[in-house]
Amino acid sequence: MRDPAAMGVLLGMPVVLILILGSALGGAMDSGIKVAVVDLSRGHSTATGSAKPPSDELVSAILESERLADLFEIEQLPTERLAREQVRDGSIAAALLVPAGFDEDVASGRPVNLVVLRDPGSELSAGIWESVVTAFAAQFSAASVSVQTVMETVQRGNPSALMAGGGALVAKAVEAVTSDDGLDGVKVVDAQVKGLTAVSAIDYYGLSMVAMFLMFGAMFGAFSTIKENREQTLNRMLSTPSPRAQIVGGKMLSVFVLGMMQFSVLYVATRFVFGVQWGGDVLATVVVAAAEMLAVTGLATLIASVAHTERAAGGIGPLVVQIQALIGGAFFSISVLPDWVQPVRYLSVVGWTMEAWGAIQTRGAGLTDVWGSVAALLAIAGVLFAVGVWRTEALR
Amino acid sequence: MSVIVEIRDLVKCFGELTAVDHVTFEIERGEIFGLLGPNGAGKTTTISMISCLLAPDEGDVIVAGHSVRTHSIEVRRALGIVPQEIALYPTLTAAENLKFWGRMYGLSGRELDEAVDYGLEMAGLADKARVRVETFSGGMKRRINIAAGVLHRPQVLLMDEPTVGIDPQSRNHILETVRELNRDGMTVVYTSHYMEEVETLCDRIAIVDHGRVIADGTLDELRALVGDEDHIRISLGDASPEGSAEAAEGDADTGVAEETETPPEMLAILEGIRQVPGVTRADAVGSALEVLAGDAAAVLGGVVESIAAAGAHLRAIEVVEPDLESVFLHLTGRGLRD
Repeated sequence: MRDPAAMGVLLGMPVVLILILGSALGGAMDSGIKVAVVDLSRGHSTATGSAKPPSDELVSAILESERLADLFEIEQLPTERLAREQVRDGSIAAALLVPAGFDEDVASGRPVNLVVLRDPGSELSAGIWESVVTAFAAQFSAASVSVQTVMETVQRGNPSALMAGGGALVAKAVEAVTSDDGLDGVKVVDAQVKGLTAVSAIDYYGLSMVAMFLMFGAMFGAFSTIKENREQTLNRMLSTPSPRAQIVGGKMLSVFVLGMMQFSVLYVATRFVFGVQWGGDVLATVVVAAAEMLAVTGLATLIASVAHTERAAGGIGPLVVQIQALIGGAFFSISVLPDWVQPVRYLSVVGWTMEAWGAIQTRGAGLTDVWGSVAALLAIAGVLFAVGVWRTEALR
Repeated sequence: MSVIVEIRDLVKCFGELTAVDHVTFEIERGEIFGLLGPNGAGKTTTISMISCLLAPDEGDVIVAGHSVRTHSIEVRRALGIVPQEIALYPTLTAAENLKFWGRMYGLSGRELDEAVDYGLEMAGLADKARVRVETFSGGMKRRINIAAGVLHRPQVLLMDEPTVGIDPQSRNHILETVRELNRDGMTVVYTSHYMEEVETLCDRIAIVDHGRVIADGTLDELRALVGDEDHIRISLGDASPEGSAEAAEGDADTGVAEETETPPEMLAILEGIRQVPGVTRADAVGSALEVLAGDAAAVLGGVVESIAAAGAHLRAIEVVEPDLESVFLHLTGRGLRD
């Protein structure tokens, strides 16, 4: 705590990296998610008149939206089968199926059922697409109710009402459905913004850099035992009447507490200064951070038992952190890698952490949803700590 | 007096090396006990086993009636440790360090505050209580290092080379502190490579070499081992045979002398001295020569002549009382710093 340089590295460095990566790679992250739209209602529509059927309006709205174009490469596909094939082979992250009967459902005011095909390997990207689709669906529901209300007014034999204002009402409803301005006007913005900001570069790197620098913090903390061993304070402690388990536990607790303090500072800074969206479940986020701290402490204990000297640990530790960060998806989304490579993230503390935090961030997952990742981190902590302590004791 | 520390047939091996080889001795309550020996003799390993940092391979240590094998926590409660290194947290203040180490010995509340005040007073650093240890001089650090070991008023204080690398003023302060602690009833086990310190401070001394206790007793008892022969110490100057003086200097801070063969020139001088009638023994101890004779006055002329004949430059010659160096030389044929 009294080492300004260490505090700078552990608190300042992640913030700087988040800013740099968020700014530099923002463009890369904010475009190029390949998705597709399939209009299955085409040819099934029973709508009459010259107006475009709602499904056409929806597809056009999606394809022509400049805002969506910033995030997605949207392609219209002719068949559901083709869409499924492309999702399966990873060519696209997700596809929206506008079902047969969509136009009738909209016209009659019935709930709209849109289907999103997701690539499990592109969970993040598919999640964003689903959020967008959800927002559009909500918009169409609202619009269809408006349309039906107008039409019922007309059908009750009150054309003057239609002349007086019904036309404007219909036009407004259609505009709400189709225009970009309508997206803002509908204000499904919350759902939309949540989905969109969850994957902005600064949001992604906000989480990943925190996950990585928590590793640095906990590792440097655990390595302090090597320094204490050299400076004889550890031996001096072990020669006091305090039980050995209490001494080791105390040292681990101090690493844990310092790590959680580091997390708290970074969480607050990223969330409230940089606007990083961490998701709604703060408790789950903190529990995942605590599990990561324990796992890293176990990893550091093992490294310390192998390295012996501060210099060796100082060389191995950062290397291990970088590798863990790399395979865990701290620098880029693992979903861009081939399927057979992707399981490598489960060898990484950062990978498990990112999986859990990503779920909280993009899918609104809670504690019960991320217990698998937490359990994995705790298992890693237990195994590595046990092996590290065993090696250390064996060498004494 | 009663025995407070009992070392029974202690053995510790590191692989093929037997660091402590069936060591047995006793320390009585209230005495200052010196453990003397060259580097690698097994002193620190013995201290580490007494303080429960290392488990004995064989034998046992009983401290205040408790075995290190079965009641290590009681043993550690009875002990205070002053390690050779400055085992303190440099970024904490003197008071914070003492408070931390006091807590490690189970002190709390008012008792802890009083202990911290006692430690600061004892170290003569009450006015530096809120100053970070990293800013202290070597002597000040040593004094706080000692204070941290006695906060809980242990029955036995283990001090491992506590005066290494400090100025004479701080050394005197520390030696006086040790005497004061002892006057208060604390048993002190003191290891040092400074023979003068051990000679002036300790009531009884054990000399260890190659992991074994080769002699123990009071200073007079140990001196008696040399017999009543006169002891002549000769220093050779710059013109001494090449290599001998440099090799003997070793590491001035740690007292570690380099292991070197006696140079042929020095052997020639020694051979010459041994031929002088009345000389019973002559050895090289670094750049100095140690000569034993029944009557120093009768052999001095012949010794000086033989040195001159060998082409060496005589810097100083003195007849001294047998000291621990003489004892060690007598027992092993080597100097303590060889």
